[in-house]
Amino acid sequence: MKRLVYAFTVSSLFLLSGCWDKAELEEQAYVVVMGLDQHEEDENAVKVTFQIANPQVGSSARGDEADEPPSDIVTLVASDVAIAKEQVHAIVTRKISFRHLATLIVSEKLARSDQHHQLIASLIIDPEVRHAMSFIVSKEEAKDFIHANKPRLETRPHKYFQFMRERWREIGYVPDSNLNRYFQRLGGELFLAAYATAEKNNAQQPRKGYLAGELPQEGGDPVQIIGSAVFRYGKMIGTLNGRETRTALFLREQSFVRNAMETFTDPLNEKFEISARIIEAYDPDIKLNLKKNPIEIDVTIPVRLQMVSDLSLTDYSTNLKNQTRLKKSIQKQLEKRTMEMIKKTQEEYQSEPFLWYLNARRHFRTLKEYEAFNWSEKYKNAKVSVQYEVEIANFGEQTKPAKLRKPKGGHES
Amino acid sequence: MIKLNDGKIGAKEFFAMIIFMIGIKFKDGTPELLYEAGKNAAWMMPLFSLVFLLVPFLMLLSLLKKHQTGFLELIFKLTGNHVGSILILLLFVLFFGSVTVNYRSHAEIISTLFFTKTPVAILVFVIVAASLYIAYLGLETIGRISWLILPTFFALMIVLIAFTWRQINWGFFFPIEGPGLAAVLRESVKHSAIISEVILLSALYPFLQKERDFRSSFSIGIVFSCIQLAVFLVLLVLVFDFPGVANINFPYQQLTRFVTIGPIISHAEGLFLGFWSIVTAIHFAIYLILLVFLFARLLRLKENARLLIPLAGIIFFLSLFPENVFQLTEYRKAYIAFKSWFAFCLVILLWVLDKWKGWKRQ
Repeated sequence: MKRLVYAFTVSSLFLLSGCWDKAELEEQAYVVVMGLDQHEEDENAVKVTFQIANPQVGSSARGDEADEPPSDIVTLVASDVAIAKEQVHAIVTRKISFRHLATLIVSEKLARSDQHHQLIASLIIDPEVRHAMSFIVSKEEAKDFIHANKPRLETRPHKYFQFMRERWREIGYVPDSNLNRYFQRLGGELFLAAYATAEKNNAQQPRKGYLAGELPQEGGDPVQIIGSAVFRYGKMIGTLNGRETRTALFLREQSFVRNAMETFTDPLNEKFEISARIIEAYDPDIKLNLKKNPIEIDVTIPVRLQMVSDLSLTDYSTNLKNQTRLKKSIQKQLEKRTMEMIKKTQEEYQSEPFLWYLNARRHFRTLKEYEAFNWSEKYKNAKVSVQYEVEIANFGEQTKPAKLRKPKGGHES
Repeated sequence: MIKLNDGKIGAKEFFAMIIFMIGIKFKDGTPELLYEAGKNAAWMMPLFSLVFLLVPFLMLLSLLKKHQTGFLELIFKLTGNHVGSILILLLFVLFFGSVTVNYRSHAEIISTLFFTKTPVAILVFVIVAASLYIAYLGLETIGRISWLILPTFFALMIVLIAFTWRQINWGFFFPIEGPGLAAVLRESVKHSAIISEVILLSALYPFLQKERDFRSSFSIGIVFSCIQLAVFLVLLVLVFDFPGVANINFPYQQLTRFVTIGPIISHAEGLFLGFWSIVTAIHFAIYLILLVFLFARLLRLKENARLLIPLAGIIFFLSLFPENVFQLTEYRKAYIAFKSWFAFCLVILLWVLDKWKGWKRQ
């Protein structure tokens, strides 16, 4: 009897959860990518694109449905995302869920409008929307971007973005932007969002630093994600190419890119380029002098280099004189690039994406004092100086470049 | 024969109860109140409140030691039957109100973030029922469960900090004084009720195995709780930044959503939700049993376990009154401001009365 009572009590625990919020796995449609576009005519409407994953693709349960596509893409027009999420059930059989929504794509046109911030700020009201959601700006319509994004090796769309995010963190051509960071930077600081496109615009300014779509490419996946969209006050105001984005990330005190390849002009033979892996061994040292007018910003960045290519075949490793020249030249080139980039932010964007405002906040005791200081305004005219402390850590696994040993006078046949 | 159950609790159980009464308040609507008042320096508030309450706490401990009796008996002894009854009634009403509001706000957290379709009434009912069950098993059980859960609780909190570490930016810590030191101090005093609620736990003084245990557990527990609150208030600011953190309704729950263990386990918040429910049930069981204590003492009832069910029933119905969580926040603010001063003054009053009686006798 006692056992019976016990069994009854334990089994009745399963009823405790109730049926209101039950979620049958079979009946869920997981949106993995969402796109937002401006409506052409109605400026208060938004075009919402849902990319819904097909969980059967890429799993062992594939079985009979071998011909189903990896995802389904639906676009509809609504006044906001919440309404679209419900109205989509006129088309989609299963219950739409944002629980696995990790990527948000916003078209550049929408990002440049006032409507953008209103949409994003009201999107976050939905408790299913996560603050860690990736934030990407597409050059074309988000709808077209999602349709065009058919990666060949990653059939499942969420895997594509997940792996891409890992690469961004390693390489730094793209900021690892998410909604949380967007909401942190609404006070006049610049927010950098990943910039992507499937529209190719090949062979522009080779070897200078590319923006998505400019990287010359043949074959491979249709989408390029490189560079960043610059936001100020929740509105897109411009772009930074891959190299500039990386520089911006490098200049942050807590930079997450520690390991990046960069090419430099060869100091002994200007026709050629020399490539190095930059390892940011220590955090940059950022000194602010806010008492002066204009304010002074002094940045020292210690970097260690690992030479990875030497096209001019000059001996930089054993010849110490060459090594010093190389070091100095690389230092100058890095400083020049960085200063150009800083100038661009001061003149064009009138604010900074380097999170130096956080350094400035340390100089104030209260929020009121900091707000009264008006950092962005002061930054515009700030005197910025950047020093790189270059150290060459190694030259790869060759002691000297392998030179061709041609006999003097004539060719061998 | 050694008696296994004597209805009393030891030092470590009492310590765990203090943690679950005060130290876990970062998990409910409290951070919202504190961030609004203290901005990005909200983390200082529990610490300043502790400093503010230091004198009353020391007075309380010395009074308890001198009279060797619980807090409620102490009130009667020092203020007399009539005034004592009024004071206890007031305490009861205040606590009853805030417990009711807290039940509802916990249900709102679940309703808003996790179970959006389940009626709030059902959620309140489940929380009330769970805490009622634990409270029904008695003080000793509550103490034991608290102590049993505590290591897991700490382990999970360390996991939470470790796995959200990547989201942290120490720059958000500054400007260090937030709205200004004076403002933070002022708000700390106003919000000291968040911590001074612990005074009521001294009603349990006669139920501790050793009276020395009470003092050590009480002091360590309250200091530990305040530090824990401060740590989490800092963590939340470092992840979301101010004013973002003040805009988020339930920042702790949002924080648990950042926990990803490798690329595969990306939704670990369920683990935290499950554990949070257990902790919540214990939290409220402690409050329930304290309420029953107050009520039973007020009416001089011997049997108090039977009071639990009607009391929980009233709480359940009353908690359904407010329309939404933002109305609750207004109630909570009013309660907290009043309770802060009430608790402070009550202890001072008792101490002064005690001294006065001493002089009169001489």
